[in-house]
Amino acid sequence: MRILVVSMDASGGDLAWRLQEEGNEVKTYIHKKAHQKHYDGILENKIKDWEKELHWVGKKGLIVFDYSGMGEIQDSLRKKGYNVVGGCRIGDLLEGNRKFGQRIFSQVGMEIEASRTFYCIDEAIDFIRRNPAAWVIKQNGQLDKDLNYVGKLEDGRDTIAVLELYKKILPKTFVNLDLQKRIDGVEIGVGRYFNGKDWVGPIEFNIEHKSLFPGGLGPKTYEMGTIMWYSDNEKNKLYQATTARMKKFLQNIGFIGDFEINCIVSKDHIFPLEATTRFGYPALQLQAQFHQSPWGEFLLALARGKKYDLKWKKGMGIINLVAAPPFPYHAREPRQSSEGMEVIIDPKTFKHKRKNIHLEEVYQSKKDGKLYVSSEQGYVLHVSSVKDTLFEARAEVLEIIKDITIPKMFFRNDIGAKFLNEEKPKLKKWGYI
Amino acid sequence: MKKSKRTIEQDKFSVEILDHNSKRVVDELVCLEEKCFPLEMRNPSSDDYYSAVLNDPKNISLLLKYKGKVVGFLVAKEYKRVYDSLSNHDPDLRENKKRLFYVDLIQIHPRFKINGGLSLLVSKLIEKALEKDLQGFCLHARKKNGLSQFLQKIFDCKRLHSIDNWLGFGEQFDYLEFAINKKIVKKIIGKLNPIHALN
Repeated sequence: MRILVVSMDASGGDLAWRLQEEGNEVKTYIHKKAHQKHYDGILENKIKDWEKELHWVGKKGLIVFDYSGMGEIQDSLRKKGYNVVGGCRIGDLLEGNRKFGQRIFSQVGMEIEASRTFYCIDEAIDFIRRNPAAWVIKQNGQLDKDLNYVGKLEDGRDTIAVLELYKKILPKTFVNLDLQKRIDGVEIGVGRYFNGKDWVGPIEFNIEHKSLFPGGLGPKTYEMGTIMWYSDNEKNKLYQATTARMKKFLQNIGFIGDFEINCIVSKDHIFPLEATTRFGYPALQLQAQFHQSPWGEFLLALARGKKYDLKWKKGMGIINLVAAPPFPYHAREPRQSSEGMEVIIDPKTFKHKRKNIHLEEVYQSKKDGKLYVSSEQGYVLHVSSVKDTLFEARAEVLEIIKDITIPKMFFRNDIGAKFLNEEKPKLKKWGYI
Repeated sequence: MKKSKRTIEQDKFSVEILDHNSKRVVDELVCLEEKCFPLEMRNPSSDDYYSAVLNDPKNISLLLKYKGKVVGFLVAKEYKRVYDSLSNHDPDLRENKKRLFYVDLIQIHPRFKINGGLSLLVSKLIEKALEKDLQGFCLHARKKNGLSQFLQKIFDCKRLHSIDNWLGFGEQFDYLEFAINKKIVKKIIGKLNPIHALN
C-alpha cells in the first residue's frame, strides 16, 4: 500500500518506520525545519512537498497526519475522497482550546471543575486574588507545555508568583492560558480509536509521568514515561463516564483517529482535564507493542470508516524516554546542545530488540552507518515493553536501556512505581479498574 | 443575478410559550440550530439538550415564529439551579441570587436577527418574568455580534464583568444582569416601539 505520512515535527516518525517495515511504500514529509533531519538514513523516502505526492498516494492509498493543527486540511482531503487518518478541524479545537473542551465535556454529562481563560496576565492575577484557591496554569494552543504549573498553596500565592514572573518574561501577545482549580486524585487517560462512525479496537488506559525527576518532582516535560494497558470491557465505569460519552460528538465532527480523555479521578468524582484528538506520544509508540495486526491495514480501515478486528496483546505496557541535555529545555549555546552526539546501542540488542526501541530525534549517518542525535533538544529515543506484569515490562525496558549509551543521557527509573504502590490499589478500591 | 430582497412583515411574527415536549419541535429546533450556529458552537447532542430543556416545566421556553415557521428560540432557567455548573465556566459568579433566571440560549435564524425577532423574544421574557414575580434575569452575551451592547442599550441590562473565550467560543462575552421593575419596563416599552419601526 502507498502511505503518505504528513508530520509536523517527526513525532510520527516511528510509526512511519513501522509502516515501512510492514512492506508498505511510505513517503514522509516533516514540516518543521528544525526537525527535518530526524530519521535521515532510517526512513527511505523523505519528501519536501507532501501536496505534490497526493497524486502518487491516490484515493486507494492512506494519508496519515501525526499532529493537531492540520485538521482543516484533513477534512478537506476527506471531502475529496482521500483516506485520511489523524484528526479533524473540530478535534483540533477540542484539544487546543481547553474551554471548548470543558464545555463539550459538561454538555455530554461529565463533571467539570472551575476554569477560566485569560489573555491578560494582570487579569489572571486579579482573578486569583478574588477567588483564592490552588489554581493550575495551563497553556493553551501551544505544543510546548513548559508554562504549565500546578498550584500548591490553597490561597493561590505560588500561582500568583509564577504569573508575576511570566508577566516579566513573556511577550504580551503570547498570553493565552487557562486557570483551572487543582483537583486531587489519580490522573489517568482513557482512549480509543474512532473511525468517524464508531469505536474500533480495545479501550486504552494510560498513566503519564510528566515530571522530569523520579517521584514526580521537578518541572513538567512532554512525558518521561507512560504505562498502559488495553481492555475490551466496554462496561468499565471510567470508560462509560468519559470517552464513551463522546461518540455522538465524534460522529458529528467526523473524527478519525486516536481519541483520548485525560482525567483525574477520586472515590466519588471523575473530572476530565483535556482531550487528545490525534495520535498521542509516546502512547502511539507503546501501542506498537500491543498491536499484533499490521498498522497499515488498521489505519486504512479507520480512514475508510470500516470496522476492524484489531489483534492485540494482553498485559501491561511501559515506555521510557531516554533523553540528553538540555531536555526538556532548548540549548541557548551550542555547548549545551546534544546535536551530533553518537547514540551507541549494543548491536545484538539493536537487532533483537529493534521493535522495542523507538528512535525519535535521531539520524543514521551515510558515511559511517552510526546513529547520531539530530536535534539540539535531546529528545532522543524511547524504549518500551509489554509483558504479563508491569514488573516484568519495566525489567525488560531497564535491561534494554543498559545496552544504550548516549553520553550524558538520563531517564526516569521509577515509571510505574507510584501506580503499583499507590494508584492501582486506589483505582481498584474505587471500582475503576 | 441580483438576489431579491424579501421584506419582513412585522405582524407575521408570533411568540409561543412552550410548555410541552414533542419530537417535532425538537427536530425543528435542531434544524434551526444548524442554521444559527457553526458546528463548534452547537450542542454535542442537540436533540438530548432540547428534549431536556422542554421536559423541564421550571424553564421558560419561548418559540419565535414567522408565518407559523420556527425562526427563533429562547430558554431561561432558574439561576439557583444552574449556578453550580455555570460557576465552573465563570467562577466570578455569585451564588446568593434569588428569583433570578439565567438565559441559557437565544438562537434566531440569521434572516430575522435584525428584524425585531430578538426584541420580541426578550419582551416576552420580561412579560413572563413579571408574571412570575421574578427579580430579573441574567446572561452571558456575545460582544462581537453586538448582542451585549443591544441588550444594555435597549433593555438597560447592566454589565457586571467580561469573560475571555467564553465556553471556548474564542470571543469575549459580557455577563449582564437585568433587574425587573415596573419603572424599567415602562422605559423599555417607550424604547421598543421605535425599534420595531426601524427594523
